[in-house]
Amino acid sequence: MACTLQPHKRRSVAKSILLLWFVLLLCSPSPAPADGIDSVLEGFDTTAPAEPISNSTTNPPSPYRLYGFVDLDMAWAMQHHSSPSSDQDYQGLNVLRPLLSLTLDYGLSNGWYAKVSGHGFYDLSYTIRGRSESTTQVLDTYEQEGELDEAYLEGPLGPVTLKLGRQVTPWGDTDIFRPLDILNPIDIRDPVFSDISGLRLPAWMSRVDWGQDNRWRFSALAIHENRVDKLPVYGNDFYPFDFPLPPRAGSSFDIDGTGLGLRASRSFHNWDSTFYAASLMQEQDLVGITAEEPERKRNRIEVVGFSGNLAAGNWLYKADLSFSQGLEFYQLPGEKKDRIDFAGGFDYAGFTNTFLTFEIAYRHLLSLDSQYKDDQDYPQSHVLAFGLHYYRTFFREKLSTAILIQLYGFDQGGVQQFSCSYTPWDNHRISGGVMLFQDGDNYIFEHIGENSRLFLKYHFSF
Amino acid sequence: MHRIIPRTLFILFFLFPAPHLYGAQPSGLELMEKVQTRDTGTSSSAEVKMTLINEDGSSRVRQMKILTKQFPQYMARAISFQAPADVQGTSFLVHDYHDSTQDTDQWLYLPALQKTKRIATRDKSGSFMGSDLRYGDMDKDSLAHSTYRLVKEAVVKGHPVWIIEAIPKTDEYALKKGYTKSLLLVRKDNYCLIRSVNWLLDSNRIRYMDVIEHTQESGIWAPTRVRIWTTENKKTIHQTLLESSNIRFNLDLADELFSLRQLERKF
Repeated sequence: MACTLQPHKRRSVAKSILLLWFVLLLCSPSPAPADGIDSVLEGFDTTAPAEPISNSTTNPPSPYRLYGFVDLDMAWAMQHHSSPSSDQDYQGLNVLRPLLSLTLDYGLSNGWYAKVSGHGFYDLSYTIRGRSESTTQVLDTYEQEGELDEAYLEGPLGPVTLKLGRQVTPWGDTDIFRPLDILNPIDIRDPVFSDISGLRLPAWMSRVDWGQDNRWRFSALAIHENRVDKLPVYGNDFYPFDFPLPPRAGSSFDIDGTGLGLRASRSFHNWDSTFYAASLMQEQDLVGITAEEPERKRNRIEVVGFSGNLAAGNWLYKADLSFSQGLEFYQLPGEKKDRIDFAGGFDYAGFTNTFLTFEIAYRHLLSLDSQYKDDQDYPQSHVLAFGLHYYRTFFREKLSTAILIQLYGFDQGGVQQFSCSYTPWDNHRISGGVMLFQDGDNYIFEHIGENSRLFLKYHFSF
Repeated sequence: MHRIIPRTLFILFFLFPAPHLYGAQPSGLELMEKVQTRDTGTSSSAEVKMTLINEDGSSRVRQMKILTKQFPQYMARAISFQAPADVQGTSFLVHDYHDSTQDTDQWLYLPALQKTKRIATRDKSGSFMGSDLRYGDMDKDSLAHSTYRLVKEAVVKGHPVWIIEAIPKTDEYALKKGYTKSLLLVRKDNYCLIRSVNWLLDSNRIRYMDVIEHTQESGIWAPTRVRIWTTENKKTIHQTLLESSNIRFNLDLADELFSLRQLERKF
């Protein structure tokens, strides 16, 4: 219906609206009501909670500190399934493992510092399920462990800083795919509990650092221990072959196997850049290995690389780029291959209490004959991967949720992890979630589509 | 967590006489300029204990050591968490540029990752370590981004104070700081902020800050005991107690203490 108000009535309505608007303005919460300030300030007296009793106690400085954590890990395989190396049904309890980790820090004179750490665990699930169901390799690898982790001395010597001993030295700027993080082997025996905190295995190294923050900083190191990755073993449902792997070649402490690394880095306003060069021994990729191989081979590779990051508002853009040469493969005897690895993406911190990471990785093996293109027994010349990590805290950081998704190509396989952590008190954390696997054409993922797990973890730090 | 810790650590400097937090007369703006320019030293060190207290009385404690030093272009802040055990060893380095139009440089070292990581966070309205503080509380304020008005004078705990109203000029700045309006109570004798009230963004919550104890060290005033609590409909829903000890100013701190290399070591 059309408006048919007379002009004077329209003026009257307009006045009414203006008056109403004025009244609303007066009634609305004013940002600076001078006479309201006193009532707000009364809040210091009327709403102030009882002053808490401080129980602060200052411990006398001590040169040493012993600390650590206790974990109780539990995992449950959700589906009935077997594996290429065993006909057993893995469905059910898979991990029930108390783990103790201890670390001793000791502050020495002149700024030197010593650290020794180790851990041990015993997995009760094998006793519960019946040890006869598992292979010897599985029992040796998964049932119990006691190991020295880090053990090093660190301190200044003139203009340089030395770090000598078993240590972890991460390289690169990316967080999910980390193509430059090549100095330490990794522990991926059980993907469910292979989070980043326990992923890297310390190795004996000698490291020297020099330089200043506002100029270039340098780090040179010699890797004395040729430690290798801890992988799933024959009889485990993540093990991809139907035969046990041959023994590893060579010794962990072989002079000829000493690795060398050099890093030069510099920080600028809003961005960092780092250059890398390394020559080190690496165990060959297991793709195409057969039961006839007498031993697992290692060969020396040379790597040069660059990483950088750029902060812009709530965004952090980051990238790793490396070129490796000297790679050898079981199905390509006598050939040495070169490879380019790239990983790049961003972190976003603009949502309240939320952290988001997205990365893309691309691996290109150069000079690979196209006839091997879709043959799983040969390395792939192009591999594309996507990674997404979401993390958010709630209730003043007592509760957190996390999602981690990794997809390898469009048909190579993938992993998704959904988890929650609750911290009822300081130092106590309970985590639980589900880890799902997608099988694919990659030999590692080919048979793990039914290996999905529910997991529960209690963590106590002391 | 690696996102939460870094941005928040700014707030710990609440315990320090950060220039932008303290102030005095003619106009509100002039008083705030006095607050910002008062002597805060060229370097400092302190140990800080932060107790988070829930509505039901249960509490959590965070302890950290904080070092600061003025450099020509920025103030460097190095923070190392010492308790509880699950965050012990976490360290944070901030370059807070004197030119407030420039974003801060921030790096975080997480012992679990054994890696130093740059952090990019412009939005600082989130809670700091689960406390009543916000990351933006300790970030350097630009006086140009808010309007300041001297509202009245009063006496608090025997000290004459100015009461200044501060309102962000833009929604963007309000979003960054996390509140829409503040009342700042500034002591007349030393230009120190001793109380504040913040109207929190997107809620009917009001946050109170009360300096319980103040001390003078090397001629510089610093709060040593601060209580902050958040109310909703005049009911307290959470409080935070900040206690600092071993406060020292104008120390001869080596530049190396504010380096990325040092971040990975204990200091």
